[in-house]
Amino acid sequence: MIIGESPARVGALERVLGSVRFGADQGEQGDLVLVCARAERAPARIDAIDVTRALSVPGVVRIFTAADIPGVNRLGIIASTKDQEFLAEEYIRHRGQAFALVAAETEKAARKAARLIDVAVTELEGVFDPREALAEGAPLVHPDKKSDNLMNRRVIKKGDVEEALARSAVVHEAEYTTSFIEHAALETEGGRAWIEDGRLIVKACTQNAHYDHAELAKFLALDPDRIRVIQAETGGAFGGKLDVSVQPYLGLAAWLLKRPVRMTYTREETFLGTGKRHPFWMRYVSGADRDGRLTAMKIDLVGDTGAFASYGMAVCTRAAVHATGPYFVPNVLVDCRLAYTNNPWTGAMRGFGVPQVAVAHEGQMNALADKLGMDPLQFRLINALRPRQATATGQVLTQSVGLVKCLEALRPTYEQWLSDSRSRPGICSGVGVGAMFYGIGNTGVKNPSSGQVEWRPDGTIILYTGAAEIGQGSDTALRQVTAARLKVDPSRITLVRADTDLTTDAGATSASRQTYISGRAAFNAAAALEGMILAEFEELLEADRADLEMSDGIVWVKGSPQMGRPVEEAVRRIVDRGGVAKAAGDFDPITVPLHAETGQGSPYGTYAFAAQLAMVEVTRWSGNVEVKRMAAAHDVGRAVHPKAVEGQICGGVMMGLGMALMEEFVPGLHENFENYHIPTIKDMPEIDPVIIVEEPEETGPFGAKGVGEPALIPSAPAIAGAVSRALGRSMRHMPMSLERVMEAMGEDGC
Amino acid sequence: MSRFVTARSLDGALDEVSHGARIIAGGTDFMIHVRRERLFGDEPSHAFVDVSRLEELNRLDLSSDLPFVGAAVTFRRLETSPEVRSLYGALAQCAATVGSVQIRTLATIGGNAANASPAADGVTALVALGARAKIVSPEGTRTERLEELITGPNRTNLSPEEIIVGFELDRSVRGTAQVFRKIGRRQAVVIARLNVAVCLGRDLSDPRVVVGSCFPSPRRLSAVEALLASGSPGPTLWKEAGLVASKEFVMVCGWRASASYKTPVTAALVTHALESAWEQVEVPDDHR
Repeated sequence: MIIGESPARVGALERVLGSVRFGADQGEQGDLVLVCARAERAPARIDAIDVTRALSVPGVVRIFTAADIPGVNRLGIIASTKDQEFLAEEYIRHRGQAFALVAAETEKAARKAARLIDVAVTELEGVFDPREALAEGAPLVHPDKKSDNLMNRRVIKKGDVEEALARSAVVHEAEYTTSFIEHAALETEGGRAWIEDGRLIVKACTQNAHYDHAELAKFLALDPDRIRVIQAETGGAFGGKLDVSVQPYLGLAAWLLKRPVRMTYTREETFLGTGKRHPFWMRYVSGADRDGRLTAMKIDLVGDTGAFASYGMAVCTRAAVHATGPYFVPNVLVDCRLAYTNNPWTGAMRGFGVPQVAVAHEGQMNALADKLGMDPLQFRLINALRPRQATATGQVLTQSVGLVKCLEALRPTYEQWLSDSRSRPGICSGVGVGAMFYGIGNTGVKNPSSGQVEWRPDGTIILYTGAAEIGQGSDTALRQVTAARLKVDPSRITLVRADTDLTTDAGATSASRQTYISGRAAFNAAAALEGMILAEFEELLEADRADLEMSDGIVWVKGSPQMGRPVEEAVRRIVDRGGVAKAAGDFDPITVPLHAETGQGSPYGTYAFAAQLAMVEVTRWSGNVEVKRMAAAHDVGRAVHPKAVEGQICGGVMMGLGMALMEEFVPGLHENFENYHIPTIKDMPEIDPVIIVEEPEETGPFGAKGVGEPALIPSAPAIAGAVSRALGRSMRHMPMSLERVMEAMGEDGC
Repeated sequence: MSRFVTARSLDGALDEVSHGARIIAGGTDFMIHVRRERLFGDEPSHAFVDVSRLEELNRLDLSSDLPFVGAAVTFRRLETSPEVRSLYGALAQCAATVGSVQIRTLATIGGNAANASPAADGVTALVALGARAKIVSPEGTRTERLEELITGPNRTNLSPEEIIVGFELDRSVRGTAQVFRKIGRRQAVVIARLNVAVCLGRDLSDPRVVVGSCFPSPRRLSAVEALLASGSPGPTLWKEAGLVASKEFVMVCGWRASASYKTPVTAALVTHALESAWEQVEVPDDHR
């Protein structure tokens, strides 16, 4: 058994020893150092950039502006919305936007020069609230390109919402909001670039080396064959390293100066210069019948994409698709709009809009349960999606639908906590539940992965994968899947990963997709390699393929294991013929794109399901919320590496707790960890139990789906539900800060 | 190149500062400023003198006639010292809420005072204990009450050539019931949204109440202390004291955005701290 075991993670020892060189650690003596000059105020029109004073700083080699970019200065993952100027051209659109890049012999000289660049600007009227941005007459964020601030809109229509609401026994209407959130990966963005044999080599932290490669080719107007991108070990990402960060700067300077360069963001640059989680404003009208069955949901969503689009279109669609939560709702109308503002841009972050809508759909579930006089967990059980039911987009789920199992698994804990939870003088206690579903992979678009497995004559087995390991454990999981399919010990397999010269595109490490999609591609590659090897043994052993067995690197005819022959015999035959014992596999889950007007379609190959519980105590006189206990049940299809799954869940809960209680990025106020608070270990309760539910997904490798983002999604809703229960008031605005809790409590306390 | 000198004697340290060196002890606040200067501002000063190893600054002598805490005593030491816990409990309790173990192991009480953040936990406790800073310079020695030394947010009347050696504490509050409480946005490594230190003796003759993260510079709440000294102990008095404290906050700071939270919570915080302190008076620790 290899699947379901928890071997030591790939690279664990090196991390413990501190010998890993992350992106931010790249660089050699003599490298030039790059620093961006960033705007203090936005929006503004650039009248002139004068680098005379900056160039006089000893050690400064060159200062680049947008005019120096040889290719297309419009970056972004989604082809139709590429709008990010990596060095500002005519306009500064957000505070912290880069407008010049300094290359100098030392970091000190580079920073000093960056401060001495004189930029003459005309300040413009800005817009900083997405709903104001969508109003008539709002200042335009892209006056040179767009006549309004609407970045993207996604509508989903199913049934007749108005009629169903009118017939509903109970209807609840409420507004919810969430804040800007910073990923807070331990490693800030960093990397190095140099020239080798006339080619540009960029080694930086990333979630998608193959995307970086394509982007660099366009940015530098270079033949893609002249660029190699290597993923540096990446010290956490959470979506923050899906967009390119330092890579274009490194490529530009190294290519034009023909010298090695390095660059590492300060924490402040990470806060201002990389995407944040989209803040959402959400209005929900939800109805249910007398028996507690949901009848309809009418949902209005507005998100803030900041100055640039980044992953906004995907977040917009994913938020809309998941807006109902993991429930069967016969009538749905979702209208989701993302607006440009002059805030720092928002982009991909663990959950892609779903953690935001989960706060709202779960708040609605609690409110409806209250109105019906039903228990919130029971109300969720009644409405939980079941096989053969259709989602809001009309996708009928046939298998691997584990929400009922998750809720049932938590029920004994829930009942125990309800009886343990007692308010006492000064302390209000409450228990809450949160549930979610999450489509694995990109939404309604192709998102293939590919990989190769090679068996060498010396017995080494190599897995080639473009999938970026970012701390989540894909190296370990992909190795297990490959080993399990080849029936060899995982330690025999070496990885070649995320290097555009050596690996093929596996798509981004995002959307909780690598175990499911790249895992399936590795599985298929291993199966193809096995086929290749067995074809040789058909001749060597003069046996039919169906009669051959292969395990632990030995092939034998069924019934005669003592007559086994090593796989390397077949490998040598292939090599002697001038071949390589290397096979490729790919996988792209079958999806049906969403209809442009109705949003109907089957956007994902499979969905993960989960539920979590929270028990909180609120100090009546201070508004302090302490999360006393959490519990989690996640349907992951099949846990390839159960300890890694538990690790993802525990980390996700912590991130969700931050979103619920303290995380809020306000540009200009919170620009490093001095005052942007993420939870510490002292804020974390024990998470017990952590239950892994396995409803196998037939298209996944050994039944696996994904858990990376689902881990975080139910946490904030469960905590908000618990605080609401404790206070007897519904908490609809995240984070639930001291002030918000006190305000909700009002004069009389809870 | 920067120069970093570890001072071996107070005279040596004074010599360094008189030549422009900047004083560093634990560095947990100071290094944040240095980093900011390096990245975003002017060239940092090129010389630093580390005073954390000086013997006089590490002296902790609370049982003598002149109770004294050296400026380089770390929060970790204050938190864990049995002497501090039994004689000046507010100081030990406050120390335990500062940062994390890693920060407390480096951070010093003197640095906390010299940095003069309005949210400094150590300052709130020290002021309640009547701390007088003992300051040396090439010109000699002076002593100043901490609430007068700190003149505003991150401002003191220290000259660049002066070094805080330590703090003399009031003997009169030694062994009284003391409580320090703090409210923050998370459970550790957090700057106080509000903090409070109180000392109560059995006869309420010399009560101390200090609220931090509320006022531009630290202050004993004299109206609250006067009320306590003339009242009869009990829930009514504690509640009244809380209300007077919150009135003083509004009077000094005016009605700002943060006041809608801070006003009621200051009242409650003071009331709760007094309740807890009075419980200690009635049931001393060693009888529990």
